[in-house]
Amino acid sequence: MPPVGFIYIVPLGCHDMNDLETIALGVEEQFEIETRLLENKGPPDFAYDPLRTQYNSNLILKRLLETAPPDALKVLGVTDFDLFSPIFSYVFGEAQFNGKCAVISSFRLRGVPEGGERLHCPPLLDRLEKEAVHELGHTFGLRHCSDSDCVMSYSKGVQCADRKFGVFCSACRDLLFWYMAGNPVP
Amino acid sequence: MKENARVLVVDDEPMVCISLANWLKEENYFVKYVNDGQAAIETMKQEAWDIVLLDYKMPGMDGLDVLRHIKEIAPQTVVLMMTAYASIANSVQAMKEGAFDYVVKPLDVEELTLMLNKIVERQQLIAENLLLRKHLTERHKYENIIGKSPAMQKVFELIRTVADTSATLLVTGETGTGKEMVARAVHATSSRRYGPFIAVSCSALPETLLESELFGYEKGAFTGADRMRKGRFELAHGGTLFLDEIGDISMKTQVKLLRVLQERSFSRLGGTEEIDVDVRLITATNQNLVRLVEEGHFRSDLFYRLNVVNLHLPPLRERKDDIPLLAEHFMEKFNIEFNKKFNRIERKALEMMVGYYWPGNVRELENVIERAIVIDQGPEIKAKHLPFYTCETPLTGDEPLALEDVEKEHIRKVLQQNQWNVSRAAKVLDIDRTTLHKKIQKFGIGK
Ligand SMILES: Nc1ncnc2c1ncn2[C@@H]1O[C@H](COP(=O)(O)OP(=O)(O)OP(=O)(O)O)[C@@H](O)[C@H]1O
Ligand SMILES: [Zn+2]
Ligand SMILES: [Zn+2]
Repeated sequence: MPPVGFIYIVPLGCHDMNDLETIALGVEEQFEIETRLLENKGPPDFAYDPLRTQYNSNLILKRLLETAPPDALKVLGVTDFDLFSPIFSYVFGEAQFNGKCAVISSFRLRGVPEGGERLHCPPLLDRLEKEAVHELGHTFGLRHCSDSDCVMSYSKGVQCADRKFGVFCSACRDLLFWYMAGNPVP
Repeated sequence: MKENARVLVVDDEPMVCISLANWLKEENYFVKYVNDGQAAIETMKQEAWDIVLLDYKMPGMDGLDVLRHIKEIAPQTVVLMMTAYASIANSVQAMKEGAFDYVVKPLDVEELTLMLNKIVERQQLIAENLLLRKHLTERHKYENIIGKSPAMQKVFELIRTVADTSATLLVTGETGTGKEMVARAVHATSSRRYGPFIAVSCSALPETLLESELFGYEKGAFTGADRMRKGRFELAHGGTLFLDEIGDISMKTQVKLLRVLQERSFSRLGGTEEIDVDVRLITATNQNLVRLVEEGHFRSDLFYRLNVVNLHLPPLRERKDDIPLLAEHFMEKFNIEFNKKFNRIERKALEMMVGYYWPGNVRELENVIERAIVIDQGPEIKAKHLPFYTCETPLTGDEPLALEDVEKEHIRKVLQQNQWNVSRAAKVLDIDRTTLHKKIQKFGIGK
């Protein structure tokens, strides 16, 4: 039984909506689920922590869950602001493991790629798309993968993220569709 | 491997717990969290945890107290303290109390990942060795005999059943399979255990000497018999007499033995007095007694009397499950004997041992481990320590080889000829790559 509903992408103060369209297409392709892009919701000020001058990803996840469209299978928030999860100094993104929502940020993905400064702009879009698929993968119950090419592999830093592919390895892909078919996540 | 690592998060802030637990799950750990020290202690008592992430500052029982309890309940559990900057000094104290390390809040994902990986790897190593040791539980041991294979479990079961009877036992099996050990174990667990255990190797002595050894002699029974001597039968009175290599005794001795078994009495050489003995007889042989009977070299009536209960010890190569356990056992034994500190066996070495033919069975394995421990300082027994290391598969043409052994050897050769290029080797062997990979794995073929 295929999952019912859509994947919603919620921009939370993003500068470039064109990027988001590309990401939506990539997500749709990877998960084989229709993906819809909502209008820009503006910066997630409700999650701002003045002490840390960062945005609390837990609060964003909570808000995304509360405001999820009724036909949402998954909701992915995308922001340009620096995220932290209460216990960690920063995160690229966070997902509700085997849950509904995930959020990613481009803030820390702007780092210099491997090969140094010769490249003018880091492959931000590429990184963001991988991060989107990765965190959404977690919401479907996928854990980190030991195949370093796989999008579900845990990447230490952006350079590492540049090395992996933006797609699932065959094992993760099989697992993904196995879970989507309603089989329980251990 | 991480799938099995169990992490307990202890923090009074629910948000911290949730976000840590969520992240740990993604990292393939099994996670549970509790919000106070008391709950942590309860959980520690109920379940086993590999790692505890413990908050230093909690209301009520603080982290240091919890740490002490954890170390008492489960000393092998690794505790990582989580602390704010202000209390790094306290964390140093915690490490003195047995915490593995500390991390400063807010945590750096990369640092935590590295630290946990390090812990898991370390635990893995310890576990591999503990596991082996744990295998040596009662179930895998009977007296000093070690074996977890179904075949040995059956042997243990049989010993248990017959030990406390007075039934005569025939122990069969190739050389070095532990026949004498079994005889001793039977004796040690029977009601005769306070009586003597006397062992005689029948092949070691010429016929006449064997007879006088077994039955004793009167003064003047033959030249040189200047006084009366009791034989082993008499000495074993109230206990157990173990006759090894029973297939080697002469027809004449067989007759005498048969008489003792029938009448439970005998007379010394050169004597007439009938001596009654209460002896349990256990015999052993590495020969095929049935064949000897058929060929007329062994009396069938004696055979039936000796073979009331047959305990067969299969050759070591037919109970490979026992090899790691035995190797570990001998490693410990010779550690003590030679004052060494070996604590593990390289996987490759273990694979080679499991694949070897072991013509000398457990005795040979014992010698191999002894040699390894004598020639090196450790702490790991390596493949290169094994005497059969250079000739990975002994293809001398002497031993009959199983089809599988020939296949393994051939695959190894072709792989070598092709510089371990699996695709090319597969083409030569005319099988596909996956099949070849499976075979390499199955046979444990290594470069
Ligand atoms: N299952 C076992 N567990 C531990 N040690 C064993 C085991 N089997 C054999 N050994 C050891 O191997 C050596 C040989 O065992 P034992 O003398 O009992 O063999 P055997 O079958 O009587 O040999 P043979 O036929 O050559 O007389 C001994 O040192 C013994 O301690
Ligand atoms: Zn992840
Ligand atoms: Zn994968």
